[in-house]
Amino acid sequence: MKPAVSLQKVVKDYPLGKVTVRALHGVSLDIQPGEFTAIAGPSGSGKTTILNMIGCMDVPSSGSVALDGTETSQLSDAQLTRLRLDRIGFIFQSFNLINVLDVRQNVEFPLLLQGKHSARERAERVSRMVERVGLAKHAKQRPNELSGGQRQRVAIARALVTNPAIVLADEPTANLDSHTGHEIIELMREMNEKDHTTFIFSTHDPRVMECAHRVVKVADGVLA
Amino acid sequence: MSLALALRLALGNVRAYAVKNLIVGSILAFGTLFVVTGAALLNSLDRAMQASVTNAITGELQVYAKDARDPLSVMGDMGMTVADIGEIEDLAELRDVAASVAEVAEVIPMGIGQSTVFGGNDIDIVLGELRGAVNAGDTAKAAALLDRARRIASDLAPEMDNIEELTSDTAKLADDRATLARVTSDTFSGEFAASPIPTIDWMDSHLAPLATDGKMIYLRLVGADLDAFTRSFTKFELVEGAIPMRGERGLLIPESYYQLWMKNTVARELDQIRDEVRLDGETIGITGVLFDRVQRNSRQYRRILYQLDPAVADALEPKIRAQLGGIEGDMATLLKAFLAVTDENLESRYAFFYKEIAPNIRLYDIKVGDMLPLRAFTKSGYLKSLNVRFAGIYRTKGYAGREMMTDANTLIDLVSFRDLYGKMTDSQRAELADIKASVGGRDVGAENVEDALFGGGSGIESTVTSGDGFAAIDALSFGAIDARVSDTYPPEQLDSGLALNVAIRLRDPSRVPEGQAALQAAIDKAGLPLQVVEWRTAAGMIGQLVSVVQVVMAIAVGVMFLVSMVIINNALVMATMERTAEIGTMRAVGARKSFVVALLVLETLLVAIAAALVGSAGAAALVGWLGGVGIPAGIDMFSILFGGPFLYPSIGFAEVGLGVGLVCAVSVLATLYPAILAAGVPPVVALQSKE
Repeated sequence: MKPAVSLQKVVKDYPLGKVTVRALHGVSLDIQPGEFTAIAGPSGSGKTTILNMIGCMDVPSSGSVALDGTETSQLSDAQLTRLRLDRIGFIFQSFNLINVLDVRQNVEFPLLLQGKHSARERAERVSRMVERVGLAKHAKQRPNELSGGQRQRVAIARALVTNPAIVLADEPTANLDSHTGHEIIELMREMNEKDHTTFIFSTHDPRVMECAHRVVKVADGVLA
Repeated sequence: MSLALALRLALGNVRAYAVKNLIVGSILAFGTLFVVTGAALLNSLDRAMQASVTNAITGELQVYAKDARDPLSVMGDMGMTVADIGEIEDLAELRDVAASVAEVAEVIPMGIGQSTVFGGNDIDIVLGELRGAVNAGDTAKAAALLDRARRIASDLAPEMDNIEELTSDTAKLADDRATLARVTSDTFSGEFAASPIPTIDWMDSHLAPLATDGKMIYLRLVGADLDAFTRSFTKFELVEGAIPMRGERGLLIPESYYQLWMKNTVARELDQIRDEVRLDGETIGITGVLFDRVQRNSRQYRRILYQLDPAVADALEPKIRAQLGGIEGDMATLLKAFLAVTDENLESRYAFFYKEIAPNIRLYDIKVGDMLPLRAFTKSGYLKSLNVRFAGIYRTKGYAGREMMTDANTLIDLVSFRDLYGKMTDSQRAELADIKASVGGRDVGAENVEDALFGGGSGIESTVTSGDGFAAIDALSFGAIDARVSDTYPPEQLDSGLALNVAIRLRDPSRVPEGQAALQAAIDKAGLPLQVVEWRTAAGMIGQLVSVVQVVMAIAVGVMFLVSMVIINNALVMATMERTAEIGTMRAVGARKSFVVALLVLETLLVAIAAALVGSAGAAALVGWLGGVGIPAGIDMFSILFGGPFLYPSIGFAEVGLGVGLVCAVSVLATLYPAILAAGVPPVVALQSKE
């Protein structure tokens, strides 16, 4: 079976003024489909950069990144965008919902971008997802009318509504209290177990790491 | 699908960024208001002007020589000179060509020139200077001025012969001749030297009124096929007299011009003073411009007194005395006092003047039916005279006409125009041969031909001498020539021969460019060296006005929109900077760059459309209101443009469409840079954002 994600000797350099900062020093990592993986490490360790590489939001300076065997480092911006839309779901630390859309509309957003589903199919999928994250009662509310935990649930629903192969979550509990954070991780676990969707999330919270199948530790741009 | 999504997002964002959008929207709404109102006013003005100008004199199109030295200016411009617009050699050819063009409804041959009626000099100025010179003790200057006055008098002497034709007042004529004889006599200089001031006073009262009678009135002549002209130009309205028929010579003088220049100066001044008080709300008071005018007019009492028959004056005297409250003094004193009107008695004196005095004086220098001795410089520079009957007075409907500018074109039949213009037709050449035969068959010589035909003896023409044969011709010029250059001409002369320009009426006045192109093509195909211009160009200075206003407005709109674009651009760039997280998130989730661009453009477009609708509604309300109350023309020139004393503007879809389109285009242009900036926001910023 092909790994869901495969990083081979990934090096990432960022220009910082006149000097170049190396964020990743040749990281190699395979993640199997259905894994619930935590990438852990202190701030600036390079875990966000790894997520960027996996999430097709950035390309490596050298080395290769493959999703389901598809090499991404040579793809155009438009191709990467399409790959993100169809194969990857995103959950952000700051939830990053679209404030002018209500819960249902936020969840529907990637489906509309895909433009391949009928209105009816979209409605069914959105309803199912909103129900699964427990927000059926709040479906017509705007993000700013919801609590942090509820917002992250909307984000989870939005990430999963397209049936992506991989869900990336960047410190999904960082802006939540520990109880709510735990609920969110539990919800992600539930989704992972039911749908066998690959989850990769970054965190530096040891209690969150405990929930992971696998914890990949990063320090100073290399895997520990 | 993503357009619907973008629209939904855009609608949401327009609400979410209400303050920014309100500012941008206000700017755009104001821009729309300005553009739509401006366009509506300009288009209304253009329509009103087209109706006014094309139906008054220009027609939709004008044709004139391609090699004209000056541009055609049918309505005239500020200068008193006549433009050299070349010639149309043969009307018949042009008529044939025009007949083949389906768009053309009518062809009205024309010519533009000028002439004077009643030659003479303004002796008042000379006498005024003479008085000044005498008072200053400048004898040399006084001598020169006296010499000038005497020369004017000797110039006036032949005019008496002319006036003899027009007047029945033989007693006055004899007096006038005596005055001129005294002034021109060899002993007059001695009389003047002996008592200069009394002599000047005498000249003021005796000689000056003659010069007023003989004042030079400038006429801007528009020669035309008068029958076609008066039929085609619906703004033409006959006030008095009759329109000369085809084949009849005649002059039609505009009413305002007639009132202004041919009316007794005292009466006219009284009219104008009353107009200023009544129409412009001025007051005479006891000082100021109008008061001075009243005083000046009062001093001109001789212009009235001199015209009163002694018997009539005797009958009038008690009435005026009663009107004035029984003051002492002779008729001169009475008239002077009578004319010194005040705000209180202006209306009653005005009424009295027209009831009692005006019927007893010659209120107008010339009257309908008079034979007018026109003088004009021909193309070749000779002064030529021609007696043409003053057939009628006309006005142009809608032209307010208190000022000379509005309606200054004296219409003259084309054949007489040609005569004054100085080109001879074959029939005229034949006529000339007849004249020569009748005066003894002497060869007149080429340079005297014009005098022979149209009258010499002006004193300017050096070739006119007192030889036997020429004397006979001179007599013809002023008297018997009427029998020769008859009051009629063969009507077919209007259909061929010379014209300077031609007015074209189109079947469909809304299709001027098409008609212009079709006629020009036909003319070019026929090889005629003529050009076709549309009425705006042909009208002259006045016609250019709309274009000038258009350019000024275009510049104003351009500047305004440039500023708007900078403001919108800045506002959007700042807004984009604040929205990087949102944009990055959309990009991360899978929105393409084009989606981001479309979203931002759509947002501005929504604001623009809303603003444009608000602005257009405002413009419609404003123009609707103006259309109800009308925009006053103010000065007479504008009444020509407006086609009346008020312009009633209207608004249509074209103007609204222009405004909405322009505002939308400007908004989209202003959004492009920020939108591209936004599209460049990398998706990774979504991960970096902190709430």
